[in-house]
Amino acid sequence: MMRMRSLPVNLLLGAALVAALTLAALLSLVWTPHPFAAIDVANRFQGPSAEHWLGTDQLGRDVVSQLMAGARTSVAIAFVAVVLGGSVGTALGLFASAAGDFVEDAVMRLADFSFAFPALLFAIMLAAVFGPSLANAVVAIAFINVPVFARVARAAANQVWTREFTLASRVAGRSGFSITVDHILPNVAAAVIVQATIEFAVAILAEAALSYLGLGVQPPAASWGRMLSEAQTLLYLAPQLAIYPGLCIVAAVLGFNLLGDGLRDVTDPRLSRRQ
Amino acid sequence: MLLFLAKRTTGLLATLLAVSVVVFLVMNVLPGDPVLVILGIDSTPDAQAVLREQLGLNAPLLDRYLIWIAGVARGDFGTSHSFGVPVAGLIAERLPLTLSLALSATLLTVVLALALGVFAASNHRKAGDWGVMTLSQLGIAVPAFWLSMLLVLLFAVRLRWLPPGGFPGWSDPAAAARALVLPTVALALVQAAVLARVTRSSMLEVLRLDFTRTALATGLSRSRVLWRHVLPNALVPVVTIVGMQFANVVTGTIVIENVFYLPGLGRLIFQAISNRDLLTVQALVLMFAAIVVTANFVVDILYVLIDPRLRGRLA
Amino acid sequence: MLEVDSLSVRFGEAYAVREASLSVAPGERVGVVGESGCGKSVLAASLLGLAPEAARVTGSIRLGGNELAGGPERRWRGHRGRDIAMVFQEPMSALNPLLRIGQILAEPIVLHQRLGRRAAEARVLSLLEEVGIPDPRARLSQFPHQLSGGQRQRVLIALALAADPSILIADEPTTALDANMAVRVVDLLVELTQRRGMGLVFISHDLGVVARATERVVVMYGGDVVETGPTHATLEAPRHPYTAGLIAARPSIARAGGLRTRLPTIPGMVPPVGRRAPGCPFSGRCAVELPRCAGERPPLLDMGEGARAACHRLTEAGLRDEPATAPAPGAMPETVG
Repeated sequence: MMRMRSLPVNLLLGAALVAALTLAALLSLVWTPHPFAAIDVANRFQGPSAEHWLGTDQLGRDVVSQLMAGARTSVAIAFVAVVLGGSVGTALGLFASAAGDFVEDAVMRLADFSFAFPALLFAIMLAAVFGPSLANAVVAIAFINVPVFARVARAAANQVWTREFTLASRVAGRSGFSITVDHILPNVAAAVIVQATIEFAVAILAEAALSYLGLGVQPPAASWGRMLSEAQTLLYLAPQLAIYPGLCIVAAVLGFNLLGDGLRDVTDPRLSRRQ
Repeated sequence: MLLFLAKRTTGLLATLLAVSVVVFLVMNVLPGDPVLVILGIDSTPDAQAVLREQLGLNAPLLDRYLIWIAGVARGDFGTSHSFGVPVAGLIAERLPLTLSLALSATLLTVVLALALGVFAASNHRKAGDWGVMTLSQLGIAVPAFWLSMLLVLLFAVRLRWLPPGGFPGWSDPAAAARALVLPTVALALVQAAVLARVTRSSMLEVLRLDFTRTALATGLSRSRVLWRHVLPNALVPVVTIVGMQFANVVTGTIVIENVFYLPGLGRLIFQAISNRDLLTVQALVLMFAAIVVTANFVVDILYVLIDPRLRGRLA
Repeated sequence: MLEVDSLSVRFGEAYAVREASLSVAPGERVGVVGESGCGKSVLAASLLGLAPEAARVTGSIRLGGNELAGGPERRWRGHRGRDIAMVFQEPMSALNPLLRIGQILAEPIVLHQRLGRRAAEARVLSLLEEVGIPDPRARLSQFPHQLSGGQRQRVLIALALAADPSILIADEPTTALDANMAVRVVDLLVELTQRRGMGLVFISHDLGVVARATERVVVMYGGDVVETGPTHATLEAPRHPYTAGLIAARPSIARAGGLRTRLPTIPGMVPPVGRRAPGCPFSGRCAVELPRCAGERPPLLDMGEGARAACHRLTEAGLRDEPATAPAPGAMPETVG
């Protein structure tokens, strides 16, 4: 039973950042200060004003609108990739744990194998074959999530299998599948959720790197990474354009990391008492 | 012990083989006709047939794989159609740069992370610890390529101390080194943030163990106990992370080389992608994946070598 | 010669050790007994200047005439190992798992006596022999996890002896060992202190082991010293109700009433640091408590023949000579079953 004391700082701060990010992303679906892709070359490189709160970029597009649209991209891709990779990975891990013995070994060996292909490398392969696209980015990021979740789910599930109530269920003759759903899953949920928030952070960074390199979403879709790559050629002219998207990335990633840490502290009190 | 090494080495070779299969399959089985890519859509069917024969694309998949992998084992990665030279040559040209960058970044990472981690652990719950934790939390959230841009803004654009990019070649070692400073720092800072945290928590774990107290009771100074007793024990789990970090650094160089316009393997990959030079991309992806796998292998071995408690279990 | 005077160890406002005094001369063996939570381990650590960071230590700790309490780390380090040494409990993780036994033992030898490698190795071997480890040469290259619990405890003793200290503090050296091994380690410690003319402070919750090892005993409860005196006299005729309770609570086959009587216990628990009454720490659990006990701390009174006890009953005329074995509730011999 958890006492309602004040929640840890990192949880609150993280939740606030994540909420702000999600809000901006959702809001951008229905409203941005200006249409984010609207090109207005006559008004490029404007400084902050009432009209354009953070000014305009090299094509006259409103920076704030671009940032909001970029938030949408990051959140959407991270969400799909992590949910996709996470479900597959968790299912694999639970299966491995329930099957045990050499099946478990084989599955985990397979999962470990995919660690050889970092997201970037996999995305590069896909891009070379299919050409760069948003789908590539999602697939690549989802792919690297599978082994991570498989590991976490398996480790957590293994712990639960050895507890008395599971043993009792097995003696009573229940099938591995039903035990997994009824008993293992709820207990594994905490670990998986904590991992998911952290993987969100990883996914946002990965998407930014991929679109920076031109391997992710293609214009006119907005992405913080793409904004940074465009800003790079203009460092001498308009350095501020390189700052804003980067700050957004940092804030988003920081938010998810803090949230994940906070959740971990809250769900595993042993750890929080130590440090 | 020898048996363990033999087992692990065969495991490594098997993994490398599996990696090569995956790379080959992804690059050759998925849709896309390389001949059309090379010659263009409006090329004649005859020309296409000739090239197809030349590239050996008519052979069955398995044969093509075996031919390729046999070549790789010999060091022959095929010929790049966009550059017109053997891929192996391209790689050999650019490998020293990428390797230098990766190694120096890893070295800097380890040095920074150990210093920060030990400092934080020995100042636990005081300002120093909070400072390091906050910095590292930020460091983890910062994309390396963005940090690069900021570094360039400060050191190249404003202060003009270092070049904003490019590589002058190896003939002038001083200039070459200067060109590598910012990329190394950018890579290292981000990785060090992660490693520092791991080092710190490992140190804190070990500090609570009894042998710390025992060592102090025999009259050893706190710093000696810290460096000679605590740190080596704390490093045991850290070593495994360094292996992962090296893999991260290596893939990180792909991005960083593009930020700083360094003519290494990373930039080569991207040139190959824009040229639709599948053969080169295939070779490079294989190389990078092989480096990652090998780094993890080395770390696995090291882990057992370092911890005497694990060695016993192998017998 | 170790002289501790009014040593207090505080964590914030709460006392872990309150005004404890004891003295050990070379050749003397003094035991410190008490349940877990009575402060004996904190006391032991403080004697080497190794109290936890958050602890505030006041009072006097004099080693060979030098005042150490409150002194800088540098001064403590000068004496640790060399003049005063400690043997810890829990030999599981008390030795650095990455180093070989030979390396572990050589380190303080080289530090304190500045011997070369060969001389240091000879000394390590003789130490291992002295603590009764068979085949010492083979042990040199072994790692701690390759030794048994009893052997690791002996290595810890050897480590403490490495620089020839004049005072040895043993903190629960037998707790992690089985009864057989415990007796042997105790005898080893007694033999070593006699042979080397060291002073020994033997800390334990096990009365039997303390009885075997020591000449004088200090009984602690809730941070206070509640009784001290010659070991056998104190254990045979305890003056403090807590000591009496401890003795009565020892399981023994040859007890009055035999196996069918219920084992007497002291009801209640040791109050944790921070929740102790300002008076006698045993109040609330004491069967023969007086009204003034909770609020007024009893002074340590000299009872003659080297014995001292802190109990208000001892100052009340008429109660003084009553044996302090007034049974606590639950100590009535009942037949079981």
